[in-house]
Amino acid sequence: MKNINRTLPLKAPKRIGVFGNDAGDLTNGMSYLYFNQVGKYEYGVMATGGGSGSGIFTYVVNPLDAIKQRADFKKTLVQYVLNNTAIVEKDSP
Amino acid sequence: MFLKSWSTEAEDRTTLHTDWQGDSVVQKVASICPNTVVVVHSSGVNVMPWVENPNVTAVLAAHLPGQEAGNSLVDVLWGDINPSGHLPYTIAKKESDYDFAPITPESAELENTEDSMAWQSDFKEGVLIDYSEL
Repeated sequence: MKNINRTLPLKAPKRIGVFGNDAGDLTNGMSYLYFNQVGKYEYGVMATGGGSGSGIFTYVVNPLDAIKQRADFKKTLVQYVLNNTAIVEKDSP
Repeated sequence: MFLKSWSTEAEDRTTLHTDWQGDSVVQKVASICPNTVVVVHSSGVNVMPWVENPNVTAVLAAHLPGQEAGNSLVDVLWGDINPSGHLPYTIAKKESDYDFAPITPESAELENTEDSMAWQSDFKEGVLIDYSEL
């Protein structure tokens, strides 16, 4: 929806910072089915919505894993903070 | 920078903002990173008060990508595929841009409720929810 200064596509960035609880793996099981009346999980990429549109994944490739795999580890440093509360409340270099 | 917005059948969302303090997280990350790429996973409509921030240099609407979420995203980020498509709805900058689709009845109490069953929308706007309605 927005792309200025030719930010994307990435060529060979030296450093990639990945932020947000939507970037990493699911922690409550491979689906968005309700657990303790809660469908809204804090951690995990939101790959489907809830209700009839949801399902149990056989696998989910989360963005953080895909970025780690795609970034050439000898040239690109991938660093990440997945906890939104930690990002908002304290500084992390 | 990954944001998400949970939605499901049988209940309405209570806000058009992204979940888990997403807006604050973007502000914080953008204040440190001059090239912030924001990816949003949601059913589509969200308000993005940070979209004009000059450090937010790219925004991707990744919707609900399913099991290949990461793989499809890196194909777009690294330029293997050009993201494209036409949205049948509009993603506005602020909530008041959506005034053409009122909830009924309007009241300050309804606007601030957290009860997802409290609203009634008569959908008087029909399918006219794209950019030409703003």
